[in-house]
Amino acid sequence: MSTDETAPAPVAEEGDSTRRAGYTKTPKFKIEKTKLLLVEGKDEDLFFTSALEKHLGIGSIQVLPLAGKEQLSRNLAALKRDPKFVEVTSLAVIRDADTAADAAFQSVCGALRRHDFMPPDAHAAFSSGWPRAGIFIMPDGQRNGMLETLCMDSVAGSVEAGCLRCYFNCLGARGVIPRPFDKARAQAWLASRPQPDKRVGEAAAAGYWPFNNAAFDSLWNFIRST
Amino acid sequence: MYSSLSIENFRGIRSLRIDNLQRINLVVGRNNAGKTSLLEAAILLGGGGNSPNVALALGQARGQLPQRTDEIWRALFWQMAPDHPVRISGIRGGQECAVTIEGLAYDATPVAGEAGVQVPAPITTLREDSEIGRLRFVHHLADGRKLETMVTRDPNSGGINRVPSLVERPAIIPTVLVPASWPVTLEAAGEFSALLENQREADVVRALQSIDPRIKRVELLLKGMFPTLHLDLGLGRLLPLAVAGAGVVRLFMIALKFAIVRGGLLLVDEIENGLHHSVIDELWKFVANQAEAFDVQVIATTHSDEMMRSAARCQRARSEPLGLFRLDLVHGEHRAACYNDEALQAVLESNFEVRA
Repeated sequence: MSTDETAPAPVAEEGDSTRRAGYTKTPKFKIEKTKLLLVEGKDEDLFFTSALEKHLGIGSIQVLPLAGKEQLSRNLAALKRDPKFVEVTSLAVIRDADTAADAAFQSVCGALRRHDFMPPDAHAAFSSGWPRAGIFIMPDGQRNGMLETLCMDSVAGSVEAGCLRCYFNCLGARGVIPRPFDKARAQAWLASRPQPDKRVGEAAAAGYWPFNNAAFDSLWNFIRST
Repeated sequence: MYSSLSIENFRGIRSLRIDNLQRINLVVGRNNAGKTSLLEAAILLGGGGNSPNVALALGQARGQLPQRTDEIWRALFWQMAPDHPVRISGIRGGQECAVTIEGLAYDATPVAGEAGVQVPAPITTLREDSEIGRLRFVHHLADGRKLETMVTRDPNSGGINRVPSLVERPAIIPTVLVPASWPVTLEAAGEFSALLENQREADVVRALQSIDPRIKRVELLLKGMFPTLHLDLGLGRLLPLAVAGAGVVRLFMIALKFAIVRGGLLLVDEIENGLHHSVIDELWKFVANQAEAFDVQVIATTHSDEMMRSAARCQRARSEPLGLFRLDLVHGEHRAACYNDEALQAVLESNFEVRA
């Protein structure tokens, strides 16, 4: 009996050029490397995969979109049952702080402990357990925010960023405050790019974010120590 | 129901333990990971040793020639070495039951065994020219009793006999194995008769209708001297079940077994065989309902991701657990990974490959 796995793709969203309606083959999560980087979703997956390939030149880390807030614990449960998990030496988790960096850090620690992994003592660090487990809370372990916050930090000095300040001040004066604000800023900045319809991860693949900007330094250091 | 099974020195399995078995269980894994061997071990534990031919039947189901008895018996033992007795045990209702299987030579010096019965000494060294003349099954029951069955092979005729001093016993735990491929047999006609007698044939017909809604009933006809099963598809003439589609036959053979193993264990190898993906949700609902109605525990193997996900969804809808296990062979050692509720939820919601 055929075991081909096909799953219905979501209906294509308006303006979303990367998806199509109908059935599509959904690749399965499989452990392929000994170092795993768990990120929140597919956009983050694309962002970090691009960073690893284009900027960091690291081929030994596999990115998996399994660190979503509601899913991390059960994804760890399934991941550690994979027959190849015995070969994993490092497990890094990157999650957004949103409105509470410390709470986000503790939440990830809790999920790791629940599955008998030793969590690190601090943000951007690794434990000495097996596998080594590390946590990075975007944007810097202290501020509220997300990946988009860091991306906007990296382009803060750009001309377009200056224009955006005027734009959002204008909106604010009229009582329009988009939430989450950093996502809105990032999408507005990306609208100034040659191809204006890209999401954060797609923009990384297209080379729009300046990966060599100092704003990303602590993040890259964390990934290098995975 | 069994909550755990342990296997030692059986076929390709040196050692394997499976815990947290549920009423409905699904075993996945790569080829040669031991899935079918696990089912065969459960057959032997359930008292299959009472049948002189059970080992032969297991070998024949795998395609071994019935005339090659030594080869079939030897293949029961890990690395074909009968000096490592087989031990299969299970925890059932909190108590352990077990069976050990020893291979004995024809010409070994008898020793005094249980209750004064002369028992040939076990083979202690493997010789290429040693033939296994006897198989000794010892069942250790939960109530502390031991039941022995000695199966001997006549070196001249090759015939299989039971030691005359032992009597026929019913199965210790009703256990049936539906192999990966199993045509309609004469036995099936008898089993269907039992369903008719208990007026349970409607369950089987309803299951078959999920594949072919034209099926109105299953009939037992006497053709010559043999009872044969037929289907009424409203064609004006009954159709032999044997020539129905593979999916119908497969589902019929599975459906038939629940009443036979009431209170026991139903084993199904490669449960997905012959079944279109559109009927597998109905299959699992049927299996779960019948398992509950007849108090049957089910252990099935599958290569199908769809079958696995369908079983998980079905059990979730019933708020009942699914025992999902993946057998792995890691550095020559067998392991069983058990997917608990949390891991199963991740499998359903994310896109994990469970089958390895």
